[in-house]
Amino acid sequence: MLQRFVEEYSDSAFTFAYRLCENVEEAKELVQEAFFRLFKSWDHFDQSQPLEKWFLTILKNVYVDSVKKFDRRNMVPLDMPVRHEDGEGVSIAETIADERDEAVLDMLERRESEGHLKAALAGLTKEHRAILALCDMQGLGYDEISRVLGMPMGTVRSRVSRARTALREGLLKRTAGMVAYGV
Amino acid sequence: MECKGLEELLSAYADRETTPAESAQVEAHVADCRACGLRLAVLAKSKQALASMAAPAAPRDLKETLRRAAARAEAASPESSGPSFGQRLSAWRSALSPRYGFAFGLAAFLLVGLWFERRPEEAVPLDVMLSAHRQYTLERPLGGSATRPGASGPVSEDAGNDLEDDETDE
Repeated sequence: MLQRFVEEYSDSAFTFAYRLCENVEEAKELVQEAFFRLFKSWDHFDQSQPLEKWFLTILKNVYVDSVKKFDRRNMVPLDMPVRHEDGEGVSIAETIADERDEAVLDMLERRESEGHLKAALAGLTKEHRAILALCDMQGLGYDEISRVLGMPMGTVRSRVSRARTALREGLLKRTAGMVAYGV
Repeated sequence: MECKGLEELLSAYADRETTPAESAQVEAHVADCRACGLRLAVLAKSKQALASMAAPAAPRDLKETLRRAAARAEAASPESSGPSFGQRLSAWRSALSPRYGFAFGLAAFLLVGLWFERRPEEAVPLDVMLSAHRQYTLERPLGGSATRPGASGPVSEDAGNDLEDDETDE
């Protein structure tokens, strides 16, 4: 059973881990740790429960540990408002009304959008990247994310929104650069 | 409905995580608000772009390490040392359920029958036993003292003391 689980889930676990940290070696460490924890506690696993959900809980614990281990200095409270570099807060009205969304949309539709996305993702906090990895890259629903991260669904909803706002800010900066250089 | 405070709702709508009432709110608003419509389009597009972003496959050495660890963990698990007594007992109980009762009974009957059938073959036949007894009776010395079974040769006069002699020899 364990060997079959490794065959079925090692790729998706690695993809998830890689999206969290964008680093192959770090992703390997995360995945190994998650699987080893699973093997160690295998005897306590209630086999009437789905194994995948249990593994997600373990992965969440590894993720929490990794955030503490790898990114303590860069951690930013998720409740902090998204700010421009000059320190001015971005009001929601300003954000929504921003016509630059057209430029972002245009950029996302281009073939080279992946490079811009990666750069924008790299500028996010670990928490923002993790929640986008779970929601958009892994395709988990809010209820599943709430189980993985151990937070209420309402919190998941607001954190996903904040992470997207931060990502959009990163993309806006890149479009501004593209406009400046006449790309 | 104002644009203010709509950001979270638009994000949840892009994820199809809104209630029907919230969805109706968003759709009604976006129909009249170009900025929010654009914002929703960006959300949907970035979501799609993130989902299709390439990620490297799990490295071969990682998979190999995990496979070995899984095999070790399975070998060390109590389950791998065979079913417990309780599991074996319940397996027997299910085997003895009425569905299998007739087959089990028939098999038991055949086994017992075969055993009894084999018994006479293993025992000494009656005629052989009687002839051996007759032989023994004919050869038995008249003095009433029995020679040891299997003993041969002429019976000595002090044959009655054989036992005593044996005992003293020892």
